[in-house]
Amino acid sequence: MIDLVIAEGMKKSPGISRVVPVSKASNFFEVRCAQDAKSAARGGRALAYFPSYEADEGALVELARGGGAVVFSLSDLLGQRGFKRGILISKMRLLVAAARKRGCASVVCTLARSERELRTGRELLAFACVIGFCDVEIKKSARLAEELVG
Amino acid sequence: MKPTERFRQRYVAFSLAVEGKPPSATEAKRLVHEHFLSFFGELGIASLAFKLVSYEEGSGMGIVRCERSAVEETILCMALLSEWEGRSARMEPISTSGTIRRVSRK
Repeated sequence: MIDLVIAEGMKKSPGISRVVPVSKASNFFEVRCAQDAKSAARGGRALAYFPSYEADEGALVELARGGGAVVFSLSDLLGQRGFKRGILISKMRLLVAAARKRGCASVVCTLARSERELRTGRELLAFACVIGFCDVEIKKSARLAEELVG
Repeated sequence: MKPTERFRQRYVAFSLAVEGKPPSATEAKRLVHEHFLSFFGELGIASLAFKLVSYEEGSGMGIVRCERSAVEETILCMALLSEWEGRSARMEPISTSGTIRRVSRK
């Protein structure tokens, strides 16, 4: 399983085959508005990260057409507590369902900014299960992350 | 209670560290209980059949029990611990098994 991170020079955690900084992944896009979503999808096979975990249907359809995937970050949950964390998990679950409905794939990673935010492969797997991935989607996600990052 | 009516349990072994060092047994118990309560809530804890089975102060290794269907949620809850009372903390799941003996061996 590959892990996408923000900081460079991070060591691998158990269960992670490779740690890839997003600066090295040319098809990684942080989507903050509809225009960003269109630019991301245009390139094809994009890894689109929505920091607010709200994406419109059009963006997901475009992403699906290009063979891209939506990125879910575990470190976004680390920064939250209580009700806010609950709301974020809920938004993630809704986005997983919306992506599934539009035929768009999803990928989980840590997007860690420091060593403290790195997590093991088993923990990423549990994260994927809790936000709504089924067994097939988990396997597909691991395979797709390898293909999209290269 | 009939064996078929009993809940199916799973034991998850973990290693706990606060600022890189294993906390005392008292602190670990408080940390684990409060963290799980914060994540699951009172009803969630009840549904989870949660129990801190054991904790070893020297090594920081412990075992929690949970219901079989909630293993992934339990592991995610452990992964979401990043700080405790202003200090950095980490609870890393090591292994999962249906018996304490087997999970201790791993």
